[in-house]
Amino acid sequence: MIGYFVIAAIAAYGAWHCARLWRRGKLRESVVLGLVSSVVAAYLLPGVRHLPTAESIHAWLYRPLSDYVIEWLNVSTEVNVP
Amino acid sequence: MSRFRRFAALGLLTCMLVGCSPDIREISDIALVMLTAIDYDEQKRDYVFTINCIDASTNDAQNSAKKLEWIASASGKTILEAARNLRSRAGKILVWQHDKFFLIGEGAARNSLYEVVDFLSRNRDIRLSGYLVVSQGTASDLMRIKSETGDLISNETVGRIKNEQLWGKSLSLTIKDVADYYGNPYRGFVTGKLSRSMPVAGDREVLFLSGGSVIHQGKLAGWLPGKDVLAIHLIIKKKYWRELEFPQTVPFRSAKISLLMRVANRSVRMRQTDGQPVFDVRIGLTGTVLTIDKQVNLANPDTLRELELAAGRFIEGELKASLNRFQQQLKIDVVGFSDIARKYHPQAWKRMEKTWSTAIYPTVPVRVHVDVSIPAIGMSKVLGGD
Amino acid sequence: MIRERITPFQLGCLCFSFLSGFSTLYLLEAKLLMQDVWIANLTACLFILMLLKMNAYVQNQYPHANMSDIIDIVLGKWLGKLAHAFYLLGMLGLGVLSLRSISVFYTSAILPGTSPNLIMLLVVIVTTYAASLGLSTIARSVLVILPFFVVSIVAIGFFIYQDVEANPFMPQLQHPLPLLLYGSLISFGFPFCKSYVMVFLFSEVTHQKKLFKSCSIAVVFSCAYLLIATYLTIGSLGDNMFKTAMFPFFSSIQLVKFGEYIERIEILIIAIWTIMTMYEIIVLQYVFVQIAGRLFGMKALKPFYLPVGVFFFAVATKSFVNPAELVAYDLKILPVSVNLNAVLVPVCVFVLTLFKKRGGSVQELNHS
Repeated sequence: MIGYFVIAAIAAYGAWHCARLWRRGKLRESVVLGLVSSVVAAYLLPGVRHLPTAESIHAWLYRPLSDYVIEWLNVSTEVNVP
Repeated sequence: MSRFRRFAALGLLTCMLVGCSPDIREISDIALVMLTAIDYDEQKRDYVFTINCIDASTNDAQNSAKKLEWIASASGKTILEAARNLRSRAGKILVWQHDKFFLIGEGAARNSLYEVVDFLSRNRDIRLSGYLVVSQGTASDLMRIKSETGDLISNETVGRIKNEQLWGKSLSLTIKDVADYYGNPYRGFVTGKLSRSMPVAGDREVLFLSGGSVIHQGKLAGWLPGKDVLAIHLIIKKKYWRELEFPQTVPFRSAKISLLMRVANRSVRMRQTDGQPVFDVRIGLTGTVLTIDKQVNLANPDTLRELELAAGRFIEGELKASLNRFQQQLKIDVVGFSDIARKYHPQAWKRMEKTWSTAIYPTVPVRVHVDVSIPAIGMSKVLGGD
Repeated sequence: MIRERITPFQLGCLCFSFLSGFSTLYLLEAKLLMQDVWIANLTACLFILMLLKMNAYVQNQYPHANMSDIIDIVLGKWLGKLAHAFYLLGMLGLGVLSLRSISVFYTSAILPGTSPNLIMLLVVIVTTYAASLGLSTIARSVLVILPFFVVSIVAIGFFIYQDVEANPFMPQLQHPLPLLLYGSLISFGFPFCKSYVMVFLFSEVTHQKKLFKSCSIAVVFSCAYLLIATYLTIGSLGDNMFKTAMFPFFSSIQLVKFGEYIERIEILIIAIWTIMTMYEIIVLQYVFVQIAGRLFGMKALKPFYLPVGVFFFAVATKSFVNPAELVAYDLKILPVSVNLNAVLVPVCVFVLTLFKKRGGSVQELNHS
């Protein structure tokens, strides 16, 4: 429900400002704004599940390094509660 | 101005979104749970969840009789299921945010205390500053005993807990302290014990909050008499002894003198003698003389000083006897000597921790020293004059 | 484009609000290190001060040029764009983490039936509007909020202190060096490394010579606040309860009461966390738009605040759906992932700026 509301709002906003920027000759801004609005709408569509997030990208990039550091230091990140 | 109008419109829209939350509660729709009792039926392997609640909308503080007090029980395979099954009878939404008292039945305390403590510490409704007490027998039966004064049972119960600091022979821990001590394998702890009994010249049974329930290794291990609980009360955390006043009758010459004692300071330290731990307990008490059963002239400074020394020695003996019982009979570190060793002597603790419960604690020397000063002897010097 | 200037004092206050945010929410490094956590926090704090000094030096070589322009100058156009892309990714990650953390707190402790997406949307609506107002407005509003913060925290600290029983500093030095090192990494990952975002505001400060002084004071105060909150919490909750509680500082404030009936002081810390987290997201959104503008060579940035805000919201709805993932990310990924943005790029820029300056001096000597 919230997703639909936001998609509608961003679509309307994106369309309005894209047209406005295009009319003022700011083509680059218009294209980027259109792209950002489309990406936002794609993220919020209910059926879409596996889009990359900052979390997933960072995990993909840095998990091997993180595992190596943890193994090298031989630490456990579990909190020891007796 | 247009920016302000835009912001105002946005703010208005945002305020309307508040209605989207299902957490909104009208005051007329809620019932405040004031007491909770949890029992465990070993035969059926069911939890019995009993609540005492009042209607939140009848908030006349002067006339508590007008408040609708309602006691109901429900059972379930888990505590949460039992609590939720209560909704089949509840006419309002139950909220636990004002519940200061949780009574655990003896069966639940002996068999499934882990789930109880986990439920109480994990639930966001339940405040960690609430008190947890174990009942002798079934908690739901005790919950149904009518109050002596005609007040709400919840008010009377919370009043009993507040009164603990006026006599000292009962000690109810907060849920926070119970959850903190619960997982510690090296120590046990003592919390309140609620029981029922016929009072002197009474016509029906009433509730007593007296003595203590010993919890060790996640289960109820036994009960403690009041004088042993007083010993723990004196040594445990400052927030419990800070306001404590307790009566103490001291034999002095051939008389018996009753003093009202307060704790001025307390320290528990560990030292090492030839590599072996020794605990020193030092307590400073101040006393007021309240009654004497024979003529003793306390206005004489030498006599008063003698009384102070006698009181100190007597209370030392009482404390020492209690601590000996904890070590030799109970064999449970209910006072928390292991915490002191672990915090302040970590290297020594590493050597001790494996055999602490079985070998070290039952035999560790504990030196008790009590200093008593009596700055007040009451409104009379001696009956009949000097 | 209108340049908005702020004073060094405003920068310092903004930096403090940005770092403090919700730094006392989880206290993850303290759960690992307990009484030795001061080592981790101080180490991270000192390291950040060093990095801030480097960044301030670089900024002073290019007065009033934005750090993103400096990165382009020093690293070159394409390497600069790559660095900016990583910065945008890092800021998006921090913003999403903030949104999710505040929504996890609200749904766990206060509004369990409310959708976390609704909470995040409400926050984003406010932060987007605030970010669009501009830096000087944001900085001035921080000056209004901070005195309330200071008074509230001092009052909370005083009342929690009444409940502190055992010495929270004992026993000391009970953890091995590797764990202390990893704890320092966690502490560096959150909250101290976030200061790399503030570097992009250096160009907007009126007195460029006072950059390091104002930021370093903010970092030190932020560290002090974190340490005080941590040790008060350990002292009042006890060791086991501290490790068990999801939000230890919040639980310790819940214990504060006056008499028997005046309770719920925790409303103060709820307000503080909410407002400070909003400031964090506001600054992140503002800087995100500025950097994105430079990355794509755009000049008219005003229309982008709303889409960027919604972008943060949209990504947050798909991130850290499971609260355990959030804690695991904070413990394992964040301490490592921040090093690119907070350490590697600034150090490279610093070293190259140093060489360029020396090269320039040598050339001047040769010409003379």
